[in-house]
Amino acid sequence: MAIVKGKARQNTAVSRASEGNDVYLRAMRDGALFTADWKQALILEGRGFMSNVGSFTAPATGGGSGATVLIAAGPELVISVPTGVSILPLRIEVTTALPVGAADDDEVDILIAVDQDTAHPADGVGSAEVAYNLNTLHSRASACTVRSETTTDLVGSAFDLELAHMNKVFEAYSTDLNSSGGSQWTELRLLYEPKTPPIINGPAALCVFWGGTAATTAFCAAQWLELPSSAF
Amino acid sequence: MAILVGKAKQSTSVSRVSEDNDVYLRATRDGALFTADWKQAMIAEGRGFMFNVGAATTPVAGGGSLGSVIDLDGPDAIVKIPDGTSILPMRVEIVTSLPQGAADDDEVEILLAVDQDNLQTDGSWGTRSTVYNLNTLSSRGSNCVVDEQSSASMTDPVLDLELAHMCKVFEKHNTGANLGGVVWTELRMLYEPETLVLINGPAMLCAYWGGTVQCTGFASIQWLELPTETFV
Repeated sequence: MAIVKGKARQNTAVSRASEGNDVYLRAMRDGALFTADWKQALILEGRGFMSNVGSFTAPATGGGSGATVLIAAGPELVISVPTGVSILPLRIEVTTALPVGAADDDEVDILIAVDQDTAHPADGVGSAEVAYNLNTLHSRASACTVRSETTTDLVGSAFDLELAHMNKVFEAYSTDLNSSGGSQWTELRLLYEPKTPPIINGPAALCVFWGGTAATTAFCAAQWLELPSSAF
Repeated sequence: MAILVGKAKQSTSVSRVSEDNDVYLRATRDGALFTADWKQAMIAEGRGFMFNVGAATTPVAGGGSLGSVIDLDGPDAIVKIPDGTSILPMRVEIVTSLPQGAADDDEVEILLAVDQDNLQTDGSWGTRSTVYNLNTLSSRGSNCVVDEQSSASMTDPVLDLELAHMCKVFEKHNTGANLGGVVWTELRMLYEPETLVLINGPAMLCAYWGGTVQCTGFASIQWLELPTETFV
């Protein structure tokens, strides 16, 4: 029977080995083992990436190519995953600046969905976005293609997994401008940060949509981990 | 065959060894291993830091040096990361006291972003703040300097990674003499990701708040910090 021990290294005795060397498992002085999330490990390895849609104070208008409501063929963000590559969505935040001048019963939506069969690397056109490494010194580049604000429809898109969805309705209590009613909607923000992310194997596309019965603008920050599919 | 055994230390037999000694891995009496998050380990080691913007009941006006809207050259808080130092933003909370006397369609927003390549060391545009260690017994100081409340413009940073963004619009139901209901409450952004982005110096972590009408806010910014050589 082997009794497992660690090294009590809480503050003053902490050291760091060189890459590839043996290292004592570090514990608190009461024996609780320090652990680090495997997703953080992938970021340190240079396998975490992110892209933004919208910049600083300039959000991107939702609704696909020419519309306001979100449509399946017109995502605001497309992460195209090629064959041989897999991604795991890590954290996706979409913040809408809710439309002004909304009418009673107007509705806005945010949707994150996956076409698990087709990468859509070029259809939909739109703007090319940069995929930044989440370890900002790392030289590894993403193998995915990222585009925003598609200007034409995706071809043959079929969304198999709807990972997250938010919507909000604008409800005016009265439509008489001279009577006291009440109406309100504030912000609509979707934060998708799963504890256990799905593994999306290429060819596939991870898409983010926003839009509504009134034109809706938003900012999006999408982060993901990326590995060769052979890792799974 | 080696069987792994921990020590059942749940309540009455808990002990703590001295730093760098071997320690039995602690488990519940039913055999579940106690673990501690690696981020907590870093704080225990004295590598967690924070600073505040605004104090007690006194918030800080947003909008950079001259205006109310958020301005690229006027962040309201900056963590300046020197070459050879890396930080991992751990928890950033910004809460705005939404402005009184807002007009219909006024908008406020909060943004947290990173210039991953450049560091501006000139502090003449703002107020230098104090960085506190999240282990209040540790004597370790941060290599970063932090500034708040820009009073002049800095050179525009290039915001490569927009980590988090919140916005809110003020919507009046009608603008006639007999107003309907209007409301917006607080706007609070809490950025506390499960997996931390690794920002390697020279770089800046910038926080902004402001809007089409001036708003005031408080910020609490926490991060972990290590020499960059730890990650290369």
